[in-house]
Formats: sequence, C-alpha cells, structure tokens
Amino acid sequence: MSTKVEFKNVTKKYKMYTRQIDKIKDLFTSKESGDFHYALSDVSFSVDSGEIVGIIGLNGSGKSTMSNLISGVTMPNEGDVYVNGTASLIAISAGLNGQLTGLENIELKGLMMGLSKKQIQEITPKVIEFAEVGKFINQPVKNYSSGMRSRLGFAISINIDPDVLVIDEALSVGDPTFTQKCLDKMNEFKENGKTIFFISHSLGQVKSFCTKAIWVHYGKIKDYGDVLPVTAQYQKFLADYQKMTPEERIKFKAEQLKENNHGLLMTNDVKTKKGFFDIFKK
Amino acid sequence: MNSLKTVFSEQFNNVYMIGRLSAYELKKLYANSFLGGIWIFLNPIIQIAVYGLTFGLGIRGGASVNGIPYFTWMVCGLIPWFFISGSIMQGSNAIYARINTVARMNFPLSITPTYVIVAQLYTHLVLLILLIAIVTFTVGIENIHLFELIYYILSSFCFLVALSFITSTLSTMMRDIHLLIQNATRMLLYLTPVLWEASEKAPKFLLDLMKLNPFFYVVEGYRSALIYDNFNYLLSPLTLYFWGLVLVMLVLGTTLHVKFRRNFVDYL
Repeated sequence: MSTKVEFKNVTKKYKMYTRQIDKIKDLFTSKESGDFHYALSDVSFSVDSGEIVGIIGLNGSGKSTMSNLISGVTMPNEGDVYVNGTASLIAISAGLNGQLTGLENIELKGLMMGLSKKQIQEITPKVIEFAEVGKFINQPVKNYSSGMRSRLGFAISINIDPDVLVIDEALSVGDPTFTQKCLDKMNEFKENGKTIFFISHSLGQVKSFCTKAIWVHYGKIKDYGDVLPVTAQYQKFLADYQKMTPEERIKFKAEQLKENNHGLLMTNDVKTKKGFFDIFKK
Repeated sequence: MNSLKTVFSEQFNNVYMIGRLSAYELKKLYANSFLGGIWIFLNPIIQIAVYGLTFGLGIRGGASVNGIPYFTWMVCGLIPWFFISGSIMQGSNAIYARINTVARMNFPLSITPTYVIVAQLYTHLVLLILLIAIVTFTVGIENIHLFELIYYILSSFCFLVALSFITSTLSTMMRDIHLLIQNATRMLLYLTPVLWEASEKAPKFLLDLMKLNPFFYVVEGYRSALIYDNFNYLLSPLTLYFWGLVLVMLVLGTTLHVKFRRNFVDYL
C-alpha cells in the first residue's frame, strides 16, 4: 500500500484582527507578531490508499481546516501537505450555483474540476440517476430542498471520481436511505483503492464504515489509529466532559491552554480601542 | 516575469474552460429575467436614448461633431464604453464573487478574470453589430475599417484583462478597493471623451493630460475605425504608450495574483 495523503508538521494559523485597518497593515509588514489562533498546530500523519478515515472532535477543533487543507482550498502556514492525486471536497451545498439548473451545475462543476467535454457527457446520466431529483434536474438549484442539494452535490463529486474524497458533514442532511446509498458508494470507492476522509459528529456512522479515525483536539491530534479504539477513547472523553461541573470545565480549559495556543480556549481580554463610530455611542 | 509565464500557460491550457465558463456567466446573468437575452440590447438602448437626448439635443442643441451627426459620434464612443465600464466593474469583483465556488477545487484561478471579461466581450460583439448598423444608416459604410476595428477590440480586451488582474486581487483583499473602483468608473465616463469632444482647441497640456487616460486611446480608436478615415491614429505614439501600459499592468497584475492567490480564502 502506498501513502496517499501525508501531513508533515502542518500548522495553520489565523491572525485575530480587532480592526479592519490591521489587515491592511499586514499586507505590507511582517505578519509574525500579533494574536494568533492556531487552527492546527504541528500536525503530522499519513494515510494509505484504500483507507476510510473518520475525523472526529469537538466543534472548532480543526476538522474543517484539515479538510480544507487536504482538498487544497487553503494552504498551510508551515509544514507540507502531500496529496497523491486529485482531491475533491463535498460539503453541504459546496460549489453549486443557485441560479443555474441541476443539469447546468453538473457541467459547470465538471468543468471546474478539469473534466473534458466527453467526460462530462459520460458522467451526466450517472449523476442524474444517483441524485434522484427527478424533474427538478431542469429547475434552478435555488428551488431545491437542502436534501436534494446535498444529494446533487454528492452525486457530482463522487462521479467525478477523485483519488481522495473529503466529506465534510455532507451526509447529515440526507435521509437514512440516501445515507445508505452514499455509504455503499463509498465502500465501492474504498475497494478501488481510493482514500476517503469522513468528517462527522455521528459516531455511529464513523464506527460502522471507517477503517481508521483521527481525533482532533484543539488543533492537535489527540489520537490516530484503528477506528474502534479511537472512537472509544473519544466517547469516554465526551462522557467525562459532560459530567463535569461548569467550574471543572473552566479548570479543564485552563489546563488545556497550557498545552495549546488555541483561540477557543482564550478569553477575550483585548482592550477595545475607540473606533470612529463610538462617538455615536453613549 | 515568472508569474506572467505561469498565468499565460494557465490561460492557454484552459481555453475550452474559459469559453464554457464565460457562456455560463451570461446564462447566470439573464437566468432570472423574463426578457432574457433581450436585456443585452435593452439596457444600452435606454442609456443611449437618455444620453442622446440630454447631451445631443439638450446641451449641444443638435450640433454635429466634425461634420458627423452627434448621435452617431456619441454611439461610437458609448458602445465601447459599455464594454469598458462593465468589464472594470465585473473584473474587479471577478475573484471575490466566485471564491466560494472556485477555491474548493484544483481550479486554475487565474482564468477567472479572463472568463469574466470574455463574457463581457460577447455582449460587446453583439452590440457592435448594432453599432455598425447605426453607422451604416446614418453616415455610410465607406469609413468603416474592419481591420482597425478588430485591432481596437483586441487592445481594449487586453487592457481590461490586465487591469482586472490587478483589481480582482486587490479587491478580494480589501473590499474598499472594489467600492472605490465602482465610483471611479462612473466618474471616468466624464473624463473620457465619450459624451463630449476632445477638441483640438482645448489647452494643449489639458489635452495631453487627457490622453494619458488609456480609455481615451480606445474610444478615439473605435471612432477612427468607424467614422473617421484616420489610419494615422494607429501609428501615433499613443499606441506605444498604450501597449507599454498594458505590459506593465500585466506584469504587475500577474505578480500580485500569483503572490496572493494561495491566501485568497483566508482574506474573506
């Protein structure tokens, strides 16, 4: 088995601006000083082909940043992201244009993924069949229900046949029958030696069909390995966390802050400077 | 210079994509209207009528320009101006408005400004047919030089693409730039001899200052191709100045684009 995706000491940080003008200043000066939020700090892992990796963690722990990095939407500030082949991201309603019809969206998205005219003609019937939107295929996408939109998005992305597929919460709006259909399709994908990243809060789905799991915790990888031990650990953590009293949670966060420089753990103690519009305030 | 090469090779490798995506641009624009493509004509015709009445009959009292009816003379400047102003505004918004669709995949981002301008070019070419018809019926066909016309279409296209590389990058990072450009474009209509004549009687330094505006060259170029028999205009030093400016802007624009495009998503 070959390595399909590899993260080498990847850090993605966002600067926390308090004023718009600071953004402009940063274009011309060094960006090293200031208040940073480390969405991911020094993350390394590698995934072989044919794996389905579940990415789990609390809200804001860096799951979506990770999916954006894999699919090439953003670039890391430090370290390297190595992806062997093309990566495609499926997020809820990503890349669909509301003004255009379903059919036009298939062509448009195909074009943007770099497909040739012939390839687009080949996948179009498959997408229509998979998406099950019936007559709506000739209606503007803005008239779709959220389930239909997610089905179409999923159908397009999966038929484009990328080497790496990143699914960011996209199945959460589908009904169980469609979710099952997607899971079947993803298993087919897996057998073809493709790699899938599956981001979900549904531990049941993660357990039932992922082979590995990554637990992201405040921008760092807490655990990475076979799916069952990792999810068990995570579940144990969730149960413990929910049992905590508010005081204990504050203490827990303070302890975490020592280890992680994460924006969610910090309290906002920045003194707000007086802006122009404050003169209207009493 | 390296970024210029990168951007150029991305353009040439994706010619089919540019064509299809620009067609979708037009589709999106008219998808929701009842009249659809008729708006391509309707909107300019309304503007032409208003400007023709206010400036031609109102201010000038129907006087002609160098023996050419004011209306014809004005339309020869106004139709290229629609192309210019539309392209400046859309070009400046090219990346910002589409970043959510295009950044989610391995997409050659540098074709975005190009296909937005190409979409404007389609509309322009359709309007040019109207323009040629107007010129033929009012002053005759003898001064229409097709070769010159194609040259001026191409030069305005090149200039607008180069410009939108700069503006689309800057206005993605700072929204203020986009608002500034929108306002400046409206003012630019009155700084370019579209509705008024750049008379040779004006003070020389003022006229020279006007000629530094690259759209001066383009608008007067269209006129020389359509209504004046003035091939010398193409051979004037202004041509050299114009293409020098295009080159400088292309280098600057592509450098900015390549430098910042990896971070566009983070600026939103």
